[in-house]
Amino acid sequence: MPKKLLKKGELHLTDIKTTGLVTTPPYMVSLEEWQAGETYQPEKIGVLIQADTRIEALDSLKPGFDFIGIQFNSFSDGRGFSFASQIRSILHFEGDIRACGELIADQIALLFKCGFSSIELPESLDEMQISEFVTPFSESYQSHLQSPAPLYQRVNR
Amino acid sequence: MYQYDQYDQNMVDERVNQYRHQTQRYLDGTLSEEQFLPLRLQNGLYIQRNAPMLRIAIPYGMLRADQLRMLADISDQYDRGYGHISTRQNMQLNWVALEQVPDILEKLASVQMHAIQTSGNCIRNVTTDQFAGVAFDEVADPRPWCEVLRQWSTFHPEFAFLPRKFKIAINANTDKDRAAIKFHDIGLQIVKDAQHNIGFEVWVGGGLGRTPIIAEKIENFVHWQDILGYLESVLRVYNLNGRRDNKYKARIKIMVKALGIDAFRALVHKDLASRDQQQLKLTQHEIDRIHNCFTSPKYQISMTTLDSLTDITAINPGFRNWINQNITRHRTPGYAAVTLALKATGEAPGDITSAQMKLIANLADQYSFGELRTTHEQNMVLSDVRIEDLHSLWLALAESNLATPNIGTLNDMICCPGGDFCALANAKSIPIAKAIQEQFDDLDYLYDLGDIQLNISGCMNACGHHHIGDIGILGVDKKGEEFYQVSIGGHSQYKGASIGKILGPSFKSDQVARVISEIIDLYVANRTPEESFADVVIRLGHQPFKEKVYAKKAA
Repeated sequence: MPKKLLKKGELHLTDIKTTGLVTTPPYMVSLEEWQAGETYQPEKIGVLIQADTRIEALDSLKPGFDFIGIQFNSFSDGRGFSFASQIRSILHFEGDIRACGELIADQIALLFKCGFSSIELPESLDEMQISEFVTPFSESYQSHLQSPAPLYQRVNR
Repeated sequence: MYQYDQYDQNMVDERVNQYRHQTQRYLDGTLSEEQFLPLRLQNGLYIQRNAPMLRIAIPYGMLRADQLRMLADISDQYDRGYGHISTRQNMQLNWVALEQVPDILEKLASVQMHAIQTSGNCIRNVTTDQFAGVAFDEVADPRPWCEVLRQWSTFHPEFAFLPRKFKIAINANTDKDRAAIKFHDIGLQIVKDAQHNIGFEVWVGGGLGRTPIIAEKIENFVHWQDILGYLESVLRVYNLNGRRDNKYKARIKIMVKALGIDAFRALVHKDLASRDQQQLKLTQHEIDRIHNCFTSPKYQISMTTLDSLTDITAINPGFRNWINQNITRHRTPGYAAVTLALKATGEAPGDITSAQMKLIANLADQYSFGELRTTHEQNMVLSDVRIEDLHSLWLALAESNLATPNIGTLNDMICCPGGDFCALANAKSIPIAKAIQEQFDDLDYLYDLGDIQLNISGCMNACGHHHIGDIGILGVDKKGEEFYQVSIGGHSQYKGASIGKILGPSFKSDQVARVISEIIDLYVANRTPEESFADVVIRLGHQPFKEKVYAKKAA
C-alpha cells in the first residue's frame, strides 16, 4: 500500500514493500532474511525488525543496509519507542531508523524524540497537515533529537 | 507550592492547542474512534454512562485558592455545579460536553492547571501524603520530588503508549504511609543514607484492581541525583516486556510476579548499565529551584495549643468532636492541619459543590495562606490554620456542611462513583455508602469504634480501594442483579500492608448495612480496650466473622 514517508522534516511519496525483492527501491527485508546473507540488488535496502525483538539480536547485525525499520503492528503498541531509544543508546547506531506500520500523525513528535529519523505515514496526510504535528510543543522537559539533555540541564530556569 | 515558569506555562498553553486540534479532527471524522481514544484518555476524557467525564489533574493534591475558584466556575459553566475528588487526588467532572473540553482546558491553563495524563496507558498523576511539609516524622518534604516526577513524566515521549496505566506514589513519613506506596506500580519511600544524603527506597509491582498485589522492594537506596535514570530504566523494561496480549495482565505487577523480583531487578540493572549515567542526573540547581517553591509560609509562631480551646469545647460538643476527629497535629507551634470532610451522610463521598469550592477557596485565603490539598481518601485539607482561628473556621465550615466530624471513622469511607456514573461498574456504590452512613448515625458510637477504614468499589477495577480497607465492599454483577462481596483485614500502611480477605458469598444491596453492623458488633464484643478493629481481625482471624454474618442465612 502506498504510504508517505516523513524524513528530516520533508514529505516524500514512496512505495514500500515489507519483504522480498521488488524492482523499485527502497524496500525492506526481515531481519532473518538480511542475516541469512542473500545478496540484494539494488543496494538501497532496509532491515525490518519486529517490536518484540530483543536488542541483543542486533549485536551481530550485518552492515550494508540503508536503514533499520521498526514495525508497529498497532499505533497503541509503544514498544517501538523504547526499542528505537535502545538502538541509539546501546548500539550507538547513527543511521536512519524508520517507524513502519500503523502510526498516527499525533505520534510524529514523540517518534522523533525517541530516535526515529523517518516515519511511514498514511497516504491521506498532506504536507500542510504534517507540519502541525512535527513540533506541537516548542520545548520539552525531556531530551529530544536536537539535544540529548533534559530541560533542567539544558536551560537556566 | 510550585509556580509555573515560562516553560511550564508554554507547555500547558500549547497542549490546549494540540488537544483542540485533536478534538476538531475527531469531530470532522479525520480521526477514527479508535485513534481518538488514547488521545482523549491521555487528556482525562472518558465516555461514561451519562456523559463524558473529565478528570482534571491536581498534581500530588496541591491547589491554590484561585485554582479552586476556577474549578468552581468551570463546574458551573460546563457541568452541573459540582465535582468529585478521586482517589488519585484529582477532580472529576461528570457531565461535560466533549466539544467544550478544549475551552475548559484553556481556562485551566490560565491558572496553571491541566488534565494531562490523568488517564490512558501512561504515567499518571503522582500522589503523596496530604500532610506533606507539615507532618511530624517526615524525612523530607516529598512535594518537590513529586514535582520533579511530574515534569519528567509529562509528555515523556518513550512512555506514552505503555502496556497499561502506571501509577507512582511518594511517602516521606517514617511513621505512617498516607500515600499507600506499596499498592502502586512504583512506590518511593524517601530515606537518608549514613551520610545524610536524600535518596529513595524503591518498591515495584504493587497494585489493586482484579489482581491485588503488595509491591516488592527492588532497591534500598537510590541517590536523588540518579532517581530519574532509575525510573526510566524500570519504565523501559516494563514497556518492552510487559504483556500486551491481555489488558488484565498488562500491569507491571503481573510482570514482576511472573519474573520474580530478582530477575526483574537484573533487567533494570542491565538497562541502567547501558545508559549514559550523566544524561538524566538531577542537578542541585534544579532541585533548589523547585524546593524554593515549597518553603514554609510566614507562620506566626505561638505557644497556643489545642488545650486553649477547652472553654469552647466544654460547652460545644459539635466543635469538640470536630477538634478530636478532623484536626491533625502540625509541626509548627500554634498551627493545626484541618481536614474538611466531603463525607456528609447522604452525599456521594468525595463530591463537592461549586458553592462549597468557592467557600473553601475563601477560607483558604483567610485562614491557610491561600493553599489547600485534596486527599486520596476524597477529602480536602487546609494545612496551615492558626489554632486561634479554628473556632471561626469551624463555624464557617459547619454552615456549608463541611464540618462533619467523622474523619478516620467508619463513615469516612472511600467510595468510587460506581454504577451511578461509571461505564465500567458492575454495581452502584454511592447508595451502599449512604445506607451504611445511615446505619451508623450515632457519632458517639462511631468514635467509640475507633479508626476503621471502609472502602467501596463498584467493580473489580478497585477504584474505591476495597482491598486495603479494614472492611472492603466490592460490587459484583450476578445475572443482571447487583451483589456485594465483603472482605476484612486490608491495610495500606508501610508496616504490615495486607490485602483484605473475602468473607464468603456476596450479599444483596439491602443486606450490606446489616452485615457491616454484625461485623462491627463482633469486634465490639471481643475487643480489649487497646485493640483497634484491625488488631481484632488479626487476633481472631476471619472465621468468627464469617460465622456471624452467614449465621442468619442458614437459619
